[in-house]
Amino acid sequence: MKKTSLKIAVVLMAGIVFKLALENLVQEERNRLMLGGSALSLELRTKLGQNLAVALLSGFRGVVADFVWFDAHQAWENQIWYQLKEGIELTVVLQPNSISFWDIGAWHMAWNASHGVSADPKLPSQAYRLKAQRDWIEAGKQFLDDGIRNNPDHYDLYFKRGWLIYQKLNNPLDSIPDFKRAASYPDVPLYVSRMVGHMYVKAARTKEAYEWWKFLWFQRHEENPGQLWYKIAQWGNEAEEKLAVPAARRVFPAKKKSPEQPNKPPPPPQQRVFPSKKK
Amino acid sequence: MEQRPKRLFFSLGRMWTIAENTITEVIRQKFFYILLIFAIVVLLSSVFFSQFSSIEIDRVKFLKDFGLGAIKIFGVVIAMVGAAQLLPMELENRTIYPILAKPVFRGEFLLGKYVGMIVLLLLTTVLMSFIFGGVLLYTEHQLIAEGAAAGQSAGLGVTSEEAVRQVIKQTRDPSLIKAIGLIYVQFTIVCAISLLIATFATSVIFNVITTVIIYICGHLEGVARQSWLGDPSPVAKFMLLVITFFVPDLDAFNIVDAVVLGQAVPMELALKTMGYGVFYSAVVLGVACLIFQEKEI
Repeated sequence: MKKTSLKIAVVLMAGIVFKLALENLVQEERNRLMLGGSALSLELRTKLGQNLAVALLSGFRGVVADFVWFDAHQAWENQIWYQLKEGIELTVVLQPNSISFWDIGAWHMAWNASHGVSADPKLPSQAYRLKAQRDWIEAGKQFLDDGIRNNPDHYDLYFKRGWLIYQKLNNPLDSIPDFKRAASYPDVPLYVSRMVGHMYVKAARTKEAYEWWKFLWFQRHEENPGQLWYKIAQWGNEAEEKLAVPAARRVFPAKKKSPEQPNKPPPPPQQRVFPSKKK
Repeated sequence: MEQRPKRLFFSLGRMWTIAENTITEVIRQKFFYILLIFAIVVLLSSVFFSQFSSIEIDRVKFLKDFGLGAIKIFGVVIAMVGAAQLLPMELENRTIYPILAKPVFRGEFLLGKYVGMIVLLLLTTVLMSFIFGGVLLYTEHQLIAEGAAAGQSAGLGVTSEEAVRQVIKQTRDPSLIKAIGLIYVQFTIVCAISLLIATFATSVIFNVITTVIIYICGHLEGVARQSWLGDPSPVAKFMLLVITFFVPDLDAFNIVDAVVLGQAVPMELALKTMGYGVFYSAVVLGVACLIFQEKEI
């Protein structure tokens, strides 16, 4: 019995040493890859409640995050904006690497909640409503900033932040760095790269837009068969016209007129739908 | 001339015979069928639950979370309850005596029980994975059809190739196999722990409850390890020490979240984690064999 106890002690001691070493090795790799979300804290346990906290402890983080997300979805449908915000923030604490939670969460704040408060009759005046609207848009942008901090290697959140700055803050120029950053990632959808050019056009920066259309045009066409080359050519052409680029230095093919119908005649009177303008 | 008795060596054949017998015994038990049927029902019903989300990617995410969660919970319960009953049942039915009366090492007997249990868990996991895969393919088909219908109503005619590609990428993710592999390794660890407790505990309920507590503590082991290195009180330090030294870090096996969210999980990490699991199970079984060797039967 004594001999067996000694053997057990030796096996346990050796086991513990190697166990801790292996655990540290695996944990270092997991930390490097940023796997896993926040550990269960007292604050998180209070927000989740008993059942979800036990589920979280048992390793069902994804399911817990999904149920919290459903609650947040319900809050959106009932237009309870602060409950929506709490739910969204809780899901990203549980799963900070979920791009869709950050993306849709920011959309709920900057689009849905901001629109909801802009027509809220409970707010005392239009000034309050405008301020509340602006606050929700800023909250959505801040949310995307946090999302990018947690997921710096994903193009989508940069794209969404650029879109928010353009659409909700009406600032196409400030959105360009985000669209450019998004376009720099490999395997992004082709429309992402075109957005940079569009934003330069919206910001009336024709020269920069032209440079961007040229940059896209000089990419290998056969590598991107889905790209709208004919539209890029058209936009580039428009920029060349605006900038009065000499013919010898133009890059984009000129707009072709159709040989069959060089000047399309107006439709005959019996085919017209709308009544002509009365003099 | 006197013949010297043959020296008994550890035999894989004898161990496998005991394993086969264990598989037959556990399959015949009601709890196994009930849990397996529940698992299949839950996996099939996950299609219904995924309808709560209106966004395609969220639906697939929910389906994967729910499906993998179901495989995990039912597998863990089967491992716990199945392994907890193995030795007490043999003692109660007195079937252990004729086996150990034969030239069979106690270690072979215990390892045979363990191998039988993990083979059964493997078959159960494969079955549940096939059902889960079927549910994913059904959802993929449904999402593509819904996309095509939405496209037609918008006058587009067909679903965009990009949308179809995204759906297929989500539903046919080969990383799911890595996630299920690591879930299976968790089952083998739980089975080993339950078998260790069975070597000195006589009550099945005590065994199951203790294994459940160890399972939950296992998900906090990483936090306990960090806290132990900090500056806690002496009592807390002792508790943390016990958890850090003896409880496995089950959270390390949890790559389900990463796989479901599309994060790349290198094969190297998966293999290191599996190696850790195999090592831990080996140590636990070694201690179990040593305890069982001295057990009064």
